[in-house]
Amino acid sequence: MEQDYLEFLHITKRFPGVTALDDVSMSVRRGEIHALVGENGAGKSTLMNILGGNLQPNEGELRLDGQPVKIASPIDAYDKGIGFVHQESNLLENLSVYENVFLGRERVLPLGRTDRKGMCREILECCQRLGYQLEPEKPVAELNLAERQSVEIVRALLGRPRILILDEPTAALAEDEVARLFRIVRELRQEGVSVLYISHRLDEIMELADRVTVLKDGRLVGTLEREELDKDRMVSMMVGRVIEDIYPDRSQVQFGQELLRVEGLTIPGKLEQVSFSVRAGEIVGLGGLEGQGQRTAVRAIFGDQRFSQGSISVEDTPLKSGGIAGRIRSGVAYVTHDRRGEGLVLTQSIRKNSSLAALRRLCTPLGVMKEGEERAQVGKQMELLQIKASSMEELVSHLSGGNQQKVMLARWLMTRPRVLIIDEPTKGIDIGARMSIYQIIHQLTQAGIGILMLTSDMVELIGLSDRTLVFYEGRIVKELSRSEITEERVMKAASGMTEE
Amino acid sequence: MKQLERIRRKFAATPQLSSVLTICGLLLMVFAAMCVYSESYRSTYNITNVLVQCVPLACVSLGQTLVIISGGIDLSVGSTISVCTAIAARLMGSDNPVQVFLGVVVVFAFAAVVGLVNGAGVNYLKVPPMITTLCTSTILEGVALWILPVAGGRINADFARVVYKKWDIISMPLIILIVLFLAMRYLLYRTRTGTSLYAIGRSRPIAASMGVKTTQASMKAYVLAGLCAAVTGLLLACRMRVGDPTCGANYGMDSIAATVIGGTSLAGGTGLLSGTVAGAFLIGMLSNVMNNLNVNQFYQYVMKGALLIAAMVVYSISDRLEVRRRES
Repeated sequence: MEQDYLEFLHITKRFPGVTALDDVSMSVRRGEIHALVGENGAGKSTLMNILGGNLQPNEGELRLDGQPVKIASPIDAYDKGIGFVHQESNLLENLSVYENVFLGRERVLPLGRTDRKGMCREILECCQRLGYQLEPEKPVAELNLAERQSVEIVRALLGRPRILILDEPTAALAEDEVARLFRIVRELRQEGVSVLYISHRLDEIMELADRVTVLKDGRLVGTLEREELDKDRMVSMMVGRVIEDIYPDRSQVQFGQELLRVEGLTIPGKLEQVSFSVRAGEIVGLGGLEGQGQRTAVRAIFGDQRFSQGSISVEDTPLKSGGIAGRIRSGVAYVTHDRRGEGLVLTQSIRKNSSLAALRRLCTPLGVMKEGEERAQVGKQMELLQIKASSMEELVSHLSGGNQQKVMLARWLMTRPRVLIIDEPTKGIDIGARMSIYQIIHQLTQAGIGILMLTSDMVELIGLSDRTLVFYEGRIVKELSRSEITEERVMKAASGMTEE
Repeated sequence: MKQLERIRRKFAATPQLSSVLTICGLLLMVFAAMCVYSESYRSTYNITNVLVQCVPLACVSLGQTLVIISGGIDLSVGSTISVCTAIAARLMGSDNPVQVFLGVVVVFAFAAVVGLVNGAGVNYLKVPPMITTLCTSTILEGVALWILPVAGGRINADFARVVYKKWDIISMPLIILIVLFLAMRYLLYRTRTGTSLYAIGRSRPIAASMGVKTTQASMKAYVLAGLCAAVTGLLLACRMRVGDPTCGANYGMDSIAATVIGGTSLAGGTGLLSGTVAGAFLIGMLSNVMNNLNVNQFYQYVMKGALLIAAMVVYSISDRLEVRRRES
């Protein structure tokens, strides 16, 4: 019971520009529930993806039962007795439940026929044991999130795992489903399975975990034994960084009239009664753990997401469902977090990328580009934002991350927005460029633009926001002003804890 | 009851199935209208003929369907057909049964190699399927003309007669199609290769992460498409009794059209074989009808295109309805 079954030894994983894991060592015993906690980007998922065979570490090694192992791929992990239940469903919607469960290792009868009946029977037996009700021949597309998760759990358990990874397993579950999951996890522990449990819900961890390992910024903070478990202690281990002196001084900033007002915004299952406002010159930060509804709210404001209830107005004019084009005309702009995916047209120049959102202003009524004006305006933005490039004809794919981010800013500033939404303003860019982007944001507020910022970087959230709204499960659970904010308070609210 | 439940399940899993039934209904309507309109049309002789005429397209479309389900596309089947008839006309003219048999073997071997080349281009060189198969298609057009510069050569008459043997309404081509259809059906719905094809058509990374041998599955699809094209090539060669280095030209696009009309999504991951056969028969039947009515060739093309657009619209609407149903 007390022996270490799985060991991570000095694991380091570097991605271009960031070190996701830095010399992390931890061990998991046979038959224990080991929880892994930490903020966004602390390295939990990276560590689990290494164990699950999705990533290879740059340094360090894994040991199973004392033997060094190399896990080459997800299927290799599966064969070595490591089951992985992903946070986001990793199933193929066009196939049925049994096809998904047995994909890649179908039971085969003579003549190459798959043993459909046998596979369905096995699934039904497993479901009965676990208390799930799944119809093996139903297409996965028809299942809800909780059912999809049970399909993943069945898939993992039919491989008779020695180690089971559960990544935020309760995020999509109702209360009784959570209870069932806990019972299953405890039964597995009885059978000697080691369960690695990632969660940001500290209450759950208190209830379930035997030990807890805390990660922060890709480093190991420590492992707590069962008797040491304490919510406040976990929170204080997760937080506690120095707010660097790279943020503009915003103590003198004056706010103007209200620019954006969101009232009672509701999208069933995603957002519930979200209300807030942004004033001219103000930076409002949206915080919280990933996927708690912040991005959905922002997308609704930008007209990219339908909502069933609530209203959004800019400068007292209610916004109708006009789609993105309508929003741009109303003075809303959105700088995406996914620079390469939905932000920049990588095969095009700075000029073409910058003028993309403001084409309506840059064209004659007949739709011909006024190229002179385009050049003048792009040139002005490049100078203003200090975009470093040989000319505006340079391809954006040749630019550094920081300059690419500035091109996106330039694009949206050319639409002359009243409200600028910035999603992850400094993701994956170096410190110098970050400082200059903070400075730009600061200057924009002085010109009277209202900024709505969404960031998963806690330090940035605290350093830049005049007011912070913390999201948890689709609601705003906490509003903190600049004077009230501390990392600990944000973290507590984001983990669903109430302050005493 | 259990059977009924299975059928209901099947409908739920493949919403295209109802569209396939619509196509079949459409087919019967066209057919019934023609029978009423024209005396000669309802003769057994003509009905057998109509069915036989549709078979070559149906055969090649079955292979195309596999490739499209797996997330690819094969534009080269048309010129593969041309090359196959050219090879057949060169090798199968002799009266020696052994040599005729060898000819058949060579045709299939050649088609399999074409499939391997396509599969290798897509899977190893990572060239998009559309480009890879367009290139091989162009090369094969040249190869066909090199083997047989003008239509000619000879197919052993006995062999051709056996392949086109008819008994009342049943004919050898029809039997060949049914056998091929059943074999493909078995492969697609009953074996792990079939499941893998659907899986990689939906998402290769996810399929790979679950242990599907994605490259292997994709290669199989292209090889099978080549082999199906070879069947069509031999059928055409036996019908004409000569080879024609350009006779396959229309089959590339027509096979894609038949597949799409039959309810297989060009995005991959969904589709069914019965729909493809129905689609191929619809295309074949309509051109037969229009020939019968002396409709100009131009209009036939227009008709075919319009049919394809109609199918796309119907499927995209039913897809959207399906999504909305699931969301609510």
